[in-house]
Amino acid sequence: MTTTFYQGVVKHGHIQLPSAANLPEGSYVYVIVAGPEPILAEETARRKATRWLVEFVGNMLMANEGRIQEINGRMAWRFGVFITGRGHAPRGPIGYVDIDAHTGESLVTAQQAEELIAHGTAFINTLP
Amino acid sequence: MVLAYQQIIRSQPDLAMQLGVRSSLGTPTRSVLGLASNQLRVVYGERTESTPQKWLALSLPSVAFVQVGELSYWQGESFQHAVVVIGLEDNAVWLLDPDMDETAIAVDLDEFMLAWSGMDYLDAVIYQVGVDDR
Repeated sequence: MTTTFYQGVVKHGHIQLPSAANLPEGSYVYVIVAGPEPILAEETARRKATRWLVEFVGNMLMANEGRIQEINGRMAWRFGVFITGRGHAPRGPIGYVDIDAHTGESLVTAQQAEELIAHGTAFINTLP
Repeated sequence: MVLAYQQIIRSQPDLAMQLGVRSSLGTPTRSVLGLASNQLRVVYGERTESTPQKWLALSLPSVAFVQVGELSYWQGESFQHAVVVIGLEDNAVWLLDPDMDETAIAVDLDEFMLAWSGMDYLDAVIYQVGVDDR
């Protein structure tokens, strides 16, 4: 089952969610208090993540499903990194890329970028 | 392909090394800037929908980064790619695709814009110094 992300606002101690939010009975819910600033929508953050991958690592890499989490004291979207290509569905993940959930800035270090390249190359070499 | 189209001859292995091509991961699009030299100028970045028209008015083909899922000639494939824009008509764009043969492909303009927008309208133009002082 996929994780669904909704953004709400706390008012008088209660979380106000969009009216269209689908909340299946019995589902587990994680509550992350993001602070007074709104956070980027997942799709916007994913585009920024893919853009960073394409520009700095390889044009066949894309960011896939994301989850929000705190990284070094910052709220961030973390996306799995997948390899696109002719004749196959995206392959991976080969690592992850983090995007600041407020500013959209990439939080990936040069070392993480090198690791993505190494993991991606190793991953491809394991394929038949 | 964009260099060959302009009669700029470079060997594929040299180009691959200079661009940092990584098998199966592709090429960092920004690395195209590394082709700049005393002989070649490189313009790279995020554009607007009218940019190909501007380049072509200067007789310059451009490299457009695209999501092929929006291009019908890819027949449902879905991956990230680069194509060379060599012509524009009212409702069509003429492309060269390095994964196809060397025949120019006419693509519906809306299709192309969708494919290009999926990569934030990133493109690159490479031209010889002295051909023009744009």
